[in-house]
Amino acid sequence: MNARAAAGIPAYLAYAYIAALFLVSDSALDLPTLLGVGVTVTLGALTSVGAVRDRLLVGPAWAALALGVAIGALPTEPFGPAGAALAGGIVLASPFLWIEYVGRSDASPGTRVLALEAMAIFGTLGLATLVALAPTGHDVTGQAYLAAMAAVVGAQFHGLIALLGGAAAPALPLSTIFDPIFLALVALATLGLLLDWAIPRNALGEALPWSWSVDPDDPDLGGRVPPELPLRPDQRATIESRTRPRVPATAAPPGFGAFLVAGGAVALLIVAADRVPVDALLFLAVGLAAAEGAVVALLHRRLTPTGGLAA
Amino acid sequence: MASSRVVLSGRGAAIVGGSVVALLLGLLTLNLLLLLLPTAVLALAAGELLLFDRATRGFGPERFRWQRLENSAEVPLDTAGSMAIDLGFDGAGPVYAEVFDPQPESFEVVAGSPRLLSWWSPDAPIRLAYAYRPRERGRFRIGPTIVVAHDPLGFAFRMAKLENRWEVLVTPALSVEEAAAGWAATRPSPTDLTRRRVGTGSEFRSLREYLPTDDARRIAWRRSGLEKVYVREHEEEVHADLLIVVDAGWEMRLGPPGGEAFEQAIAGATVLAGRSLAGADRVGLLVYSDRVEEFVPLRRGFEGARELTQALARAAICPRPFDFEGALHAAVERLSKPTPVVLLSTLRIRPTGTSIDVAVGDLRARGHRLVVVGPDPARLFPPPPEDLAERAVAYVRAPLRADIDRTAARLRACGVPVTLYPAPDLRGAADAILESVPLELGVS
Repeated sequence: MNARAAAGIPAYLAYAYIAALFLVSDSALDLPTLLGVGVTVTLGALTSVGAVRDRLLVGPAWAALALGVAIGALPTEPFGPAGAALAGGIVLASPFLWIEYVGRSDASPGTRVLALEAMAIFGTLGLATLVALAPTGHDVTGQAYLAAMAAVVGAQFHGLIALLGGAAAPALPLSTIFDPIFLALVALATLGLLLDWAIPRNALGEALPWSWSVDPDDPDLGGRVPPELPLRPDQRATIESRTRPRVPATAAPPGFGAFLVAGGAVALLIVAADRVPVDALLFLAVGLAAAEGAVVALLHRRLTPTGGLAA
Repeated sequence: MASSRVVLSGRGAAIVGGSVVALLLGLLTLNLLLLLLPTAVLALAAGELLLFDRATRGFGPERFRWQRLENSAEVPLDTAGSMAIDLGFDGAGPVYAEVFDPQPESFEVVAGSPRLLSWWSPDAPIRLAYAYRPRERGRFRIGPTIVVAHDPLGFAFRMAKLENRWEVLVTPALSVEEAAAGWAATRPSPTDLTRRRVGTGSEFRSLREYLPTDDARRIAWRRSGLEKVYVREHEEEVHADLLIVVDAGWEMRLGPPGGEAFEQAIAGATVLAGRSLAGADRVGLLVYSDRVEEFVPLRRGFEGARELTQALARAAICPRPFDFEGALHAAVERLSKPTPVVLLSTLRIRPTGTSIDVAVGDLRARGHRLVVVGPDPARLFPPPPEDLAERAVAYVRAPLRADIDRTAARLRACGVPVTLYPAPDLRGAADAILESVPLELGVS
C-alpha cells in the first residue's frame, strides 16, 4: 500500500460509514435524496481518479451543486420537499468532493490536513444530526436531514456563544459525539498522512538518499569520465574520485524525535481531557501559543547577514 | 559562533498554516477527536522545526573548509574544463546536506555533477567534481558554492554561501594547430600558405642570367659557359603583419542573442588571426569603443595565438558609441611600419564632417592600408517564418541598411575595400577578406 492509499482509503471509509448510517436509517429512501447523493459521489469519484481534473469543469460543477443546495433549501415552491431532499443528499455526500485531497501526494500538506479535518467535522456533524433525528420518530429523509443539521449547527453556535458569555455547562451537540468506528478510521487516515510525511525528502520534495533509495549499481554513480573528453589524467582521476551520495548508517529514522513530540502532545491532551475537561482547552491554547511562538522566534532569528543567501 | 537562519520551506509553511486553521475549526466543535488531529500535526511540525534547529545549530560558512583543485582557468570554446572542490565540515553532528556549485548557463556539464545531495558527517570530507563544456566565449565565474542543510521531513533548511568563486576564461578556438586542422580539408597546408619571394634564403629557387648588379658570389660556375653566365636564385620566407581592429561600440549588439554583430566580429577575428598565424604571419588585435579596450601587439606563433585568444575571450561590447577616427588613430600610433588593418564593424559609425576622409587619409599617409568588414544587414537577423513578419523586419531594417550603405559608400570613395559578409557565415567569407588584404605591406 502506498502513502496515498494509506491516508486516502481510511478517510473514504470513515465518511462512507457516516453516509451508510444515514442511508440505512432512511426509511423513505426518496429519489431526490438518492439523486443528490449519487450526483455528488459521482463527481467526487471522477475527480479522485483523475477523470475530471480541469478546474474549468470542476469549479462550475461545485458551484452548480452549491446553487442546488441553496435553492433546494429554500422552503418555497416550486421545489418544495423534493428540492430540500435533493439539497440534503448533496450536503450529506459533499465531503466526497474533497476527501481525495487527503490522499493526494501532489497537494500541499496544509491542504491535506484541512481536507481531513473538514471531513472529520462533517462526519461528526452527520453523527450529531442522526442523533438529533432519532427521538423525533419521523421518516429520516434528505429534507429532514438538512433541517436537523441546520438545527445542530445553530445549537452549537448558541452553545459556543453562551460558553464565551460565561455559562457553566451550555449545550454543545458536537462536543459529545463519539463513535469508535469513525474514530478508528479517522485515526488511521491521520496515521497514513503522517507516515507519508516521514519519507525523507528535501524542501523541494526531492527524495533524500536513504538506505533503500540509493542503488549502488546505478550507472549514474559509476563515475567514469567519457574518454573523448580532452582532460588530463589527473583531472579525470579527480572527477572519478568525487563523493557519491551517502546514506546515514546509525541515525534515527527521519522525524523520529518529532513523532515522539507529536505522540506526547496527543497523549497529554487526552489525559487532560479525561482528568480536567474544562482546563484541557486552556492547556491546548497555551500549547498552541507556545508552539507558534517557538516557530516564529526560530524563523526570525538572524545571527549573521553573511550566513545565507536569504539573510 | 554565528550561524545562518532556519528558513521555512513552502511545505513547512503549508503544514504549520494548515494545522493551525484545522485546529481553529476543531475548536468550533470542542470535540476531542477533532482537536487531536490538528494538535498531532502541529506538534509534529513544531517539534521537527525545533529539533532541526538544534541539530544544525551553528551551521554557517565558518563551519566549512574548502579547497578548489584541478580547476581549469582557461578553457578553449567547445572543449572541456574541469572543476573540483574538497569540502570539510566542522558541524556539531551529521546533517542531510545539498552542495551545489553554480556555473553559467552556457556551461554544459558533461561528466560528474556540480550537485551532491548526501548525508554528511563532520569527520568525512566530500569532493564535488565535474567537467563542463563551455558554449560561449568570455570571462565567467563559477561559484560561490552553496551548502544547504535539509530538514529530513522537508519542512525547513539552512543555507550557507562559501565565498570561493573561481574565474574561467573561455577562449575562442584559435591556435596554429587548430587553424591548420580546421583549414586542412579545403585549403593548402600552413606551409603552402607561407608566402615566399626571391631573397637571401637558403632554399634554391632557379638559375637566371647574370646581371651587372648581381653579387659575383652567387654565380653558378658549373652551369656557366663562356657565352652565358648564370647566377643562383634563392627563396626567403615572407612574413606579413596584420592588425585586426574590432569595433566594441554599442551598435555591435545588433543581431539575435548569441549571434550579435560583436560575436560575429570576434568569430571573424578568430578566423583571420588563425589563418594568418598558420601562415607564420604576425597578428595584432585592437578592440576599440571610444577608447582602447584591448590591445595585443603584433605577435607570431604559439605565444601570439595565446595572447590573441585571451584578448578575444575577454572582449565585450561597451555601452558607448564607436569612435571610428579614434580607432584608426590608435591603430596608427601602435604600428611602426606599413601594415594592413582589418576593421570588423557594423559600419554604423555616424561620422561628423570629413572625419572618415581625414582618418583614412592619415592612415594611408603612414603607408597602412585599411580593409573594412561588416555584416550584411539583410542576413544579420534570421529570416522570419512568415511573410508578414519578414516585411515587418525589412521595414525595421531599412534605416540600418541605409546607415551601412552610406558609410560603405564613403569608405569606398576613400579607396577602402568594404566587404559585407553574409552573416553569420564569416568563416566562409574569410578567403575573400584575406584576398582583399594587401599583405605585402607588412612584409618583414
